[in-house]
Order: sequence, then structure tokens, then C-alpha cells
Amino acid sequence: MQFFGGSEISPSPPVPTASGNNAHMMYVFNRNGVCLLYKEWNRPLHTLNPQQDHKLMFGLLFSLKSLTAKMDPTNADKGNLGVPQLPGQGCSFHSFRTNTYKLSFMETPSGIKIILVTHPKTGDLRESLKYIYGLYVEYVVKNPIYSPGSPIKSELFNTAVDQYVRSIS
Amino acid sequence: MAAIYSLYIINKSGGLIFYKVNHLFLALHLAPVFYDLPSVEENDDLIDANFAGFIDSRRDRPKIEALEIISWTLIFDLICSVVCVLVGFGKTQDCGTKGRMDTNDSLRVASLWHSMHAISQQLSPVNGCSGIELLQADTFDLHCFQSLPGTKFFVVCEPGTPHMESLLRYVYELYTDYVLKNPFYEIEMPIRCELFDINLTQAVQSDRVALLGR
Repeated sequence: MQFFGGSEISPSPPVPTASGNNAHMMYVFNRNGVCLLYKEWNRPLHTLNPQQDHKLMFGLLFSLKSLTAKMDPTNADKGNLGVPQLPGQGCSFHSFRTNTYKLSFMETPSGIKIILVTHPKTGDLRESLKYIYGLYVEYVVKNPIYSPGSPIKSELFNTAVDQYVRSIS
Repeated sequence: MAAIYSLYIINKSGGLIFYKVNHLFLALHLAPVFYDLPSVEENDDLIDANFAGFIDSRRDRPKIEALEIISWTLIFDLICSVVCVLVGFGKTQDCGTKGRMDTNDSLRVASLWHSMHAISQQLSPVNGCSGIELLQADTFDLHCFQSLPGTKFFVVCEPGTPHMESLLRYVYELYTDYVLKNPFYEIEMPIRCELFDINLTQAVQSDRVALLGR
């Protein structure tokens, strides 16, 4: 599946798909499971403390990817359940929906996972996630002071993401 | 033909009690892998359960090929299922051929799904979450329905297949009618009820799925 269309942030962000839906929260993980960014806009219910919550989220995504790779009905050659898949290898899911939220997921070839939890009636957010990845590349990766694998502290990135997510909600 | 790959039923403890693979659809989908046929998407006529009307006359291949594949797959499957029944596997009908999972894998996948379903409830930002209803992947969609006692019904289908929710509710109705009301059926055990099987097969054919969507 073609991931990169260009090397810069696309000139205009994708048009918002639905109006009036609020984003709940956003996570960014790297390939080792370190939570690089966690932003919360609307989360009335906190079940676990933040560290456990991040670990649970990462674990859920890891297992779901393993499940979809195994269940893929169009691929005759499948690995075993539980074997870590390389990014891009095997079928991966891009979103799941429950009755109270919708989780959109994107994994880049470098192992960066971007997760956006929104209202269940939100449309397909894959383009939006790609745009957010573009913001990450511009403001975080290209920042010479940022050390990879550490939580993101860039104000510019936080503001840009905040503005963008509020505009698509 | 409805684009359904497989159907699973999981009991409330996470054990797989029923697993059905749509062989015809899988065979058609995988036929291009084994035999040099044009891919299924190009010829929508191929995706039709009826043998009589399904060969696309625009194709310039001999008509016998597609029929042969289907019939050989079904014969192989029949042999497999006979062997499975003799050996005592009962309802789990697959024998590890390409594109399908063997029994152990389907059991693992089912219990993994059960856990994922439960974890997704914990991660909800608001109260009242009842677990994953739809999972969208690159090559398939997974619709899940959880009944009040906790039995989960989920179906793996082609992306964008409509009316899966009503199909799942209909399967739940069939389950309550032919399985739960069967006095010889032990609750939470693998399902071995013929009537359930027959009605289910009818239900996943295309005309029924479209009717359910009303």
C-alpha cells in the first residue's frame, strides 16, 4: 500500500469529514512502545493511571495487528499469532468502532503509531492521520534538539496538532 | 453472493463454539493464486453461488476450469470434513489448507478477540462502552455483535459489505431457536446442531442478506 505521496506536509489539510464531533484523545507511540505524545480534549472517564493506560493501548494495538495479520482471508501465507510484525508486513487494521468511540490508527514504516480517538460517527480519518504525521516530521523529526525516543515537548507541534484536530472535530 | 469469509461464535468465557468458513467464496478468491485465472474483482459474475449461471461467457477460457476448481475444492472439503467427523472434531470444518486457519489457530484467534473486546471497553473515554462493533482492516471488515449474556457473534467479510449487523442479529435469532432451545445441547459447548447449520448456510447467501437489510 502506497504510504508516501510527497515529502512535505501537503499544502492544505484534508477537508473535515463531519461537523460537531469532538475528538477525545490522541496518542503517538514509537516502535518500542514509548508514548511520545498524549493529548486529551474530552475524556470524562479515566479507568487507569496514565502509564497503565499507555501500556494497555499499545498492547491492544499490538495484539490487534497480530490478529488482523492472522485473520487476513486473502493472504495464504501467514505468520503465527504473537510474532511481532514489521510495520507494513501483513494486513493491518486502520480503525475500529465501539458504541461510544471510534479509534483510528496509522502506523508508519518507521514504526511510529498515531492513534486518534473520536466520536463514533466520525468518517475515515486516514488522510488526517497522514497530515498529522506530516506535522510530526516537520516539527519534531527535523528539530535538531529533539532526541528520538523521548516524549515530544515541542510547543509548535502541540499547537499545530491542537488546532488541526479541533478543526476536524 | 454475499461477500462473507467466515463466521465465529464465542461463548461468554471466550471459547470458540462455532466456526464456519464460506468455502465457495474463499475458493473463488484464492483460485487466481493457484490457477492462472483473472482476479475475482474483474469478473463479478464469478461471485455467484449458483453453478448454472455463473461462468462469465466473456472470458475466453474454457468453461470447465472454474467449475473444476470449485468442485475439487468442495470434494476435498467433503473428504476433510468426513475425516474430521470420524476423528471427532465435529463442527470445526477446516483442515489447514491455504487461506484458512486450522483448528488451533481459530481457537486462538477467538480467545484473542474475546480479550481485545474486553480491553477496548476499558480504554473508552466515556461510560457505557460495550466493546468493539466494527473493525476495519485493509482487506477485510469484522463485524461483532455481543448478546446480553455475553455470547459474541462475529463475521469476517469484504470491506464495505452492507447489512452485516442485521445478519448478525438474525444469526443470534437462529442460535436461540435451534441451539438454545435444543434440549440435548449443553450450554457453552461446541455447537453440533444440523438445523442451525442448514439455516445459517441459507442465511449467508446473497438474496437473504439483501432481504435482511430492509
